[in-house]
This record gives sequence, C-alpha cells and structure tokens, in this order.
Amino acid sequence: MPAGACPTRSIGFNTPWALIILYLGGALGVNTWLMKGFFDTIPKDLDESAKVDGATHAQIFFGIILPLVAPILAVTGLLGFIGTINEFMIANVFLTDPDSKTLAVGLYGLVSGERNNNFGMFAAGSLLAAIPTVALFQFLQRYIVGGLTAGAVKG
Amino acid sequence: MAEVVLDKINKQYENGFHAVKDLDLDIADGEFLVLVGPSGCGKTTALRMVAGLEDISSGTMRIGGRVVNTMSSRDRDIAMVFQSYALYPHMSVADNISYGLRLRRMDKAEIDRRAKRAADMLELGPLLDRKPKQLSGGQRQRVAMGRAIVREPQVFLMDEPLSNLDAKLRVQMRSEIAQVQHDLNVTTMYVTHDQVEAMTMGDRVAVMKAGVLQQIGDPQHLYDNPDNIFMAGFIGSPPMNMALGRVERQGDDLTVRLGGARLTLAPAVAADRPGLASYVGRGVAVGIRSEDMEDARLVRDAPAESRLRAVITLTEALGSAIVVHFSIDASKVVTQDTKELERDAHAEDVPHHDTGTPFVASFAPRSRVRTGDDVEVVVDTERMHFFDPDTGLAIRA
Repeated sequence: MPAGACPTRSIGFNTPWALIILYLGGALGVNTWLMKGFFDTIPKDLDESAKVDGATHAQIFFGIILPLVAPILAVTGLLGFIGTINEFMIANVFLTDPDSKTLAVGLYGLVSGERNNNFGMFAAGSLLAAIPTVALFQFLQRYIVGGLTAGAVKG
Repeated sequence: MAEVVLDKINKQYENGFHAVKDLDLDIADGEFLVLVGPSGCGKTTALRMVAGLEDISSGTMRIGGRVVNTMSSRDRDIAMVFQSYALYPHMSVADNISYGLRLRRMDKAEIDRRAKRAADMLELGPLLDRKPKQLSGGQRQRVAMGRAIVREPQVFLMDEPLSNLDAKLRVQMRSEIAQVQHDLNVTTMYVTHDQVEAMTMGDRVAVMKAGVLQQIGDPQHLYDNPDNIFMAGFIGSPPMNMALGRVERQGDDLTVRLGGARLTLAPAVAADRPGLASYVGRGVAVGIRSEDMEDARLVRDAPAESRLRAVITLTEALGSAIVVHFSIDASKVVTQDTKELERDAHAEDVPHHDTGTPFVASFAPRSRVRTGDDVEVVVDTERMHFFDPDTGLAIRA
C-alpha cells in the first residue's frame, strides 16, 4: 500500500474526490455567472405561459428552459472539461502518489527529470491527451447554435 | 359555472406604488368583458392577478365560485393568450398546442381530438409541423389561441393579443376572436388599450384609469353616457371635443355660451339634465362629438341658436365623411382627466398655435367646405354633454 494512503479514506491527498471538490469550488461560481447571462435571455413570458398551462417549476425548468439554453450548457461543459483535463498546478500539489496522478501531472513527470527524459513518450502522450477533447467538441458542436428562442415572442 | 368575481381587489408593490385600487368586477358566465384604459392604468396587473401571475395585496378573487387568491395558476382552470404570444420555440405547432394537455397526462386520443378541433377552428391544419419561427405574426397569434382553446378552461384571459399585429390583420383577427369566443361561450377577460377593439368586441366594457375603475357598461351605453370627462374623451374616435362654456338663462330656456356663440337648449334637453339648472351663471365643460356637428348648408331649418361660426383650418376627406378642423374661441378644459388623455394620445408636447380650442367635426361627404372657408356649423344640442369643470363628473341629475 502506498505511503500516505488509507483504503477507507475517500477525501484528502491522492484521492479523486479531493480534486473534484476543489475544481467545483472554482467552476461553480464562474460557470454559474456565465450561464446566468444566457438564462436571462429566455423571455419571461415563456415561463408564465407554461405556468398557466399547468407546468410545475421542475417541468418548466427541464422541459422549456434547459432545451433553450443548450448552447451555454454545451459550452460550459466543454470549457469545464478542457480546464479540468489540462489542469496542472493544483493536481501537482495534491497528487503526490504516482498511482493517483492525473494525465497532465503524469505527462509532466515524463519530462521533469534531469537526465532520462522520455520526449518520445511525452509527445505521444500529449497527442493522445488531445483526443477526448476533440471528440467532445465534435459531439457538442451541434448544440452550439444561435437563435434558439426565435419565434417564441414578438421581436 | 364560470363567473369571475373581483371583490375590492388591490395591488400594491413594495415600493409603494398602488397599481390597482379597490377593483370590483363581476364577469358573468360566458361574458366577453373588455378591460380598457391608457397605459399604466393597472388593467394588465388586474388580469395577471386573475391568472395567478401576480399576488393579490388585498381583496377576494373568485373563479367559478371558488376563492382562488392563493391558488396556483395551474389549478385555476384558466388559459391565457399573451401579447407576445409566448410560444415554445423548440416545439412544433402541434406540440405547442397540446403542451398543457400532455402535462396533465390526458389520454392521447382525447388530446388528438381536441388539438384537431382547435386547429380546424383556427385553420392551423397545414402549419402543425412547423416551428414558431417559421410562422407569420398572425399565424403565431392563432397558435397561441389554439393553445388556450384546447385546454377547454373556465376562463380565457387575453392580454392585448392583437397589439403586435398590423392594422388590417388586427381587424380580421378581432372578428375571429369574437367568433371563437361566441362559439365556445367561454367567460373571457380581454385587456386592451385600443378603445376600438373594446367597443367592437366586448359584451361589456370596463374602463380603468390610474388603477381605478371609471365606468362599466355595454359599449353603446358608455359612448352615449360617459360619467366623467375622462370617459368622454377616451371612448370614441375622433375624441369628443371639449371646451369651457357658460350656462345662462334666457327666458324659460337654458343657453350655453361657447366663445362667441350662444346655443339654446330645447326644453326637452334641459329637462333631461335637471342638474344643469344649478349651473346657471357658472362655467361648465361642454362636450360635443364630431358626428353631432354638421355643415349648416346641408341641414334644413337649422335654428340660429344651434349654430357656431368658424373658420376651417384643415379638411380631411375620408370618402365616407369629411373631417374638418376649426377653432372655437372658448377656453380649453384643463383637468387631471384631460391631462391623462393627452398623455395617452402622446399629445402633451404638441404645440398649440392659436388661442382658443381646436374642434374636430365630421361632415357628410357631400359638404363642399374647403380649408379657409368661413362656415356655420350646426350643433345637435340634444346630444351635447356637460361636465362639472372641477370634479369632471357628468351633469345629469
């Protein structure tokens, strides 16, 4: 068992949950602010119309609002993914144990030594690390469109 | 049944603004009630309180006999048509129409039956698969109506649904809406700022000003018997002409001095307005509608005591009538009501060139008057209106 790690411990150094909570602390604030602006563009009349039609708060949110803010959800998800997968500083500090290192920290480790740097492996690893991001882009691209609320209200 | 009763309804916002003051309104089952007034008068706020989109500060609201003050909108069994249509843009027309029914988990066959009926009624058949952004304004408005109709609610609420349409479409949709309401016989509360819509569509019309209900009655009654200066100037297009005059007694008759002219009231006319006798020697606000004045050359046997002399400043030939503008050398009526009317007509900053009061009369099309002519205008004294210049109230009893 690696030093400093406890099998029953789920939070703290060298655990994924620690990183997740840390990243959430930053992302939640910024992304909420980013998405708020977009949510504000949804006309209030749509809300009220659905309310009078008989929708509950949850039905309005998931059925009407979320489909219309799909672009910002896609963008936020993408930015969050890119930021997290490339994040180095915090991961480097909190993940000291080689078994629990993230991709970014691991790749850094390949070229951080003094003598036996493996640039070939590093280059190949960097290329592979780009694949998930590109794949996600391809998948989310069709949600990043404008004019979703066109036709809803006069104007 | 589905009556809507507003009992001393008030709406006061946190900043102290009192939008609706002690509103008492009784809408009978199946009635088409129009709530009309200048912008900012509280009519939309009142409608939104019926819909449950605004909280009621005080008073009781009843729909179909049940008190609904704290009931949520979905339980009130109402349907609303918004001024901006508020269609769900990511759904097709068919889905838009059936949204409310799908929420209530209605049987699919029933949903289809109702949706088809609404689509047929509003001729939306070929549009069912389109998205709202592929529809014209009139089509969107009909989809919004279809969405309200399928719910088969107790009450329809309509918030200025025609104000975003162009003039011709508005006229057509006006009759469509009236026809639909008549066929379905659903209690309807319709808010508008356009008094022509109010007059043509409503079974009864309720006029509001600054949060207070001014008068309620059927359109013709409001037109013929305005209770105050605001009502007189608001209902009717072109608006009623008003000037300050003096009531005098000449022998047995009452006369009204209007600028340089003196109009004699026939005994029957004076008898209809017994309160006028107490205004002898005092100023009154005189109201004359434009269709109650005529070119003297077209009227046979018009007595001299019902004529005004005036110089025509402008003529507008409408084809069905000639609208003439002239000036009377009587003072303008200036009260809070007239200021409110001016504000509503966006005429507060219009400069007034001559002294005296501008009048607008509607002559028969065969009149031969031209701008600049010095003409005599016959006034139908039986249809003159009189108001107290201080309180603004009509002088009757």
